[in-house]
Amino acid sequence: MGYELNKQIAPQVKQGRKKMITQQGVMGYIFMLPSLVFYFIFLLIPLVFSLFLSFTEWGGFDFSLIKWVGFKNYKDFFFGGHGFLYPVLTNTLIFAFGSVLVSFFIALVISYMITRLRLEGFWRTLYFLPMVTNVVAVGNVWDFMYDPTNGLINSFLNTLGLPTVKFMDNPHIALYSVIIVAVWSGIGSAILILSAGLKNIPDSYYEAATIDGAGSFRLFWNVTVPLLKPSILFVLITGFIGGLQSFNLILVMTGDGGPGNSTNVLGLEMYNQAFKYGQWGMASAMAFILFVIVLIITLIQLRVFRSGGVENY
Amino acid sequence: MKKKLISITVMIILIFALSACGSSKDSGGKDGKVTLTLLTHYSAQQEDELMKYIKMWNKENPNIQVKHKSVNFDNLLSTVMAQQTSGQSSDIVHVYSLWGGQLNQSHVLATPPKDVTDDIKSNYPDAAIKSSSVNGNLLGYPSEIETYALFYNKKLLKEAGYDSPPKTWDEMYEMSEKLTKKDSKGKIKQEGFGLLSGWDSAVVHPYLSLLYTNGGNFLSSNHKQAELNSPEAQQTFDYEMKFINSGITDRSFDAQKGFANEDVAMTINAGWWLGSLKTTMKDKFKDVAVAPIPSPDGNGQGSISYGYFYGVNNQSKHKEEAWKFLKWLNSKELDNGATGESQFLVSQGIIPTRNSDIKALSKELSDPNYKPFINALDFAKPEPNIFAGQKIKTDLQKQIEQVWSKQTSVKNGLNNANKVINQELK
Repeated sequence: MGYELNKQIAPQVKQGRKKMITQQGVMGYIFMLPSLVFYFIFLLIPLVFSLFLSFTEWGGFDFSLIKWVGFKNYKDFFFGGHGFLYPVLTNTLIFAFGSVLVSFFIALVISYMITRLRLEGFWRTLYFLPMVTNVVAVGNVWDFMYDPTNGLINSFLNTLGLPTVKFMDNPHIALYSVIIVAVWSGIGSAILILSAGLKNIPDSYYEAATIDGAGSFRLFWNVTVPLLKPSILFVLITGFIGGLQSFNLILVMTGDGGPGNSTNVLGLEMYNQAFKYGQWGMASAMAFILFVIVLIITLIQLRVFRSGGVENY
Repeated sequence: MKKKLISITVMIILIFALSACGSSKDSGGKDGKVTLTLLTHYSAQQEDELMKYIKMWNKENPNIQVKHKSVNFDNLLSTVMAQQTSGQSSDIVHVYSLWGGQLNQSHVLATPPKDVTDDIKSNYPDAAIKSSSVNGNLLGYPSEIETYALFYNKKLLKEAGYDSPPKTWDEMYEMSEKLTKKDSKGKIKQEGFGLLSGWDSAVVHPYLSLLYTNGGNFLSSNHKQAELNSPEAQQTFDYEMKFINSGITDRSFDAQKGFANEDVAMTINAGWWLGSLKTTMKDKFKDVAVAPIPSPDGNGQGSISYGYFYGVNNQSKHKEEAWKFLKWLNSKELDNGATGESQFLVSQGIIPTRNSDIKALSKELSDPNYKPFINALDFAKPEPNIFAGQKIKTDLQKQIEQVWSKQTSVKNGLNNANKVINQELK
């Protein structure tokens, strides 16, 4: 009797449960709808549209004038002789690697030191200040400091009897001059993340290593660095992504990536192609090439760190 | 299935709702009143002057009101683009002539009616008409037109023993050499001849103006071929480099600021700079003078011209009213016989282009500094406003800068510029 009753009830329960799950699913989707719509409109549509544009020629005004050209923009980028590969792409890589690696190493040393200092918060705030300063202000102030006629740095060099350096007018050093500014202004965020990571390393590891006779360098190399890997990975990945896409500092300091193309980077060239020359197809193709470069560099970093035992990312 | 349907329906509704927000605006009211939007790059101070005439029109025409919107010059083209694609376009746009090709190819601007084209063709100089046309088709009312000339500081020239500006290239070089002063460490304190830099026109236009005095060309007459591999182009660039190589001109010396501070004796720039120098230099402005750009033998004439024009947006629902307003602003003679547009331009130290305005404002334009710019309207070659106009200008700028900073030789720089520009012109 009981078995018969269960047999009769079971499908009803099953159905009810299924209905409840379906209702919950619908509710879930309804709650997610605003963010899904947001991503659909502001991420997916522009992404698909720009991928489509990268295979077209379009002046940026009238949708009816979009002309399909296949892989022409990609071919022009690599083989068109417009200087996109050299110097624009090489400048982008030099800028990203230069600014990220230099700021990372300086930040690592500084954070290691300030976590051992009194007034740690004060030092962290001090190094973080450039991060909260507007990039336009930073760029202009450094431009003034680099000025060969009245600039602070050249006045100092002249006082020491050294010749004037044309930081922003010499094509061989202009990009490195901008990298110094990018390092100076970007160091704060790396210090913040790395010092937070350092604080999470339990003292017992250091105590054990010290008992085993480890000196300062071995403590740093064999304890700090391995346990700091997740933070290092985060700093490097976000830094490279930002560095490869960055163009605002160069725009402020040089105006157009000059002299010549010596400070021109992909982000700036992309902006000029779209908004200055009305070549939206080429600009979109550049955006996707940059996307692939960012993806490859990020995957390489992930692989390197995973092989070193970081599995969290 | 039902769930899918609901999701799709909601999304479609949202997309339609959002796209409705961006749909073309209709500025026509139920009472028959029309509000036109005029987009320019004029600053707040310039806007105050322009508004005098807009207010005058608004008072006379209660049914066609004009509203002025201004954006920074650097953002003007991108603003027009964004407005156009989102359907929020301004009825009237004040555009740089170099963008004419781009705007024309993208059908942004409406064709002017016959009465407007007739008025322009019979009342404006050739340089102004060409600046406002693409492939011979007029796109709008010419407003300001700029030509290039030699700016010099009378006081500095006099101190060096010169009473008049140079007429030949050799004279200009010799005078610059004498006018250049350096400190004990070799740092320039006073530059005899300054080359402007920092933006494309500053680099490209003086070079092309010198090239034109030497009888050379930038592009072929049909705009299909670059002509920068000519002996004239090479001679002109060699001449510019002579100043840099001899240390008379230091590229890192800010010639624009330096001239205003009386640290630069001579430089080549456009007419608009007079108004700006007047404001910056105050009393010292009396020493500023302008002369035609020297030519190799003193007999040649050369200058480049570029301009702005008022066009009506093709998407505007009130094209007729927009042209009516533009015709009033640019052709209606006010009390002193000059148009509102010309009075606005003169108040900014800019030379108007309409022939009758130049006559009506002869007193205001009697300043001898205006003369070289006005005279240059007869022989100045307009900046080519083809589709790739901005791109080829930047290409040339980059090559000039590379030669200036000695990354490449004059010959290679010009050959590279020629090659890259020819690719764009294909």
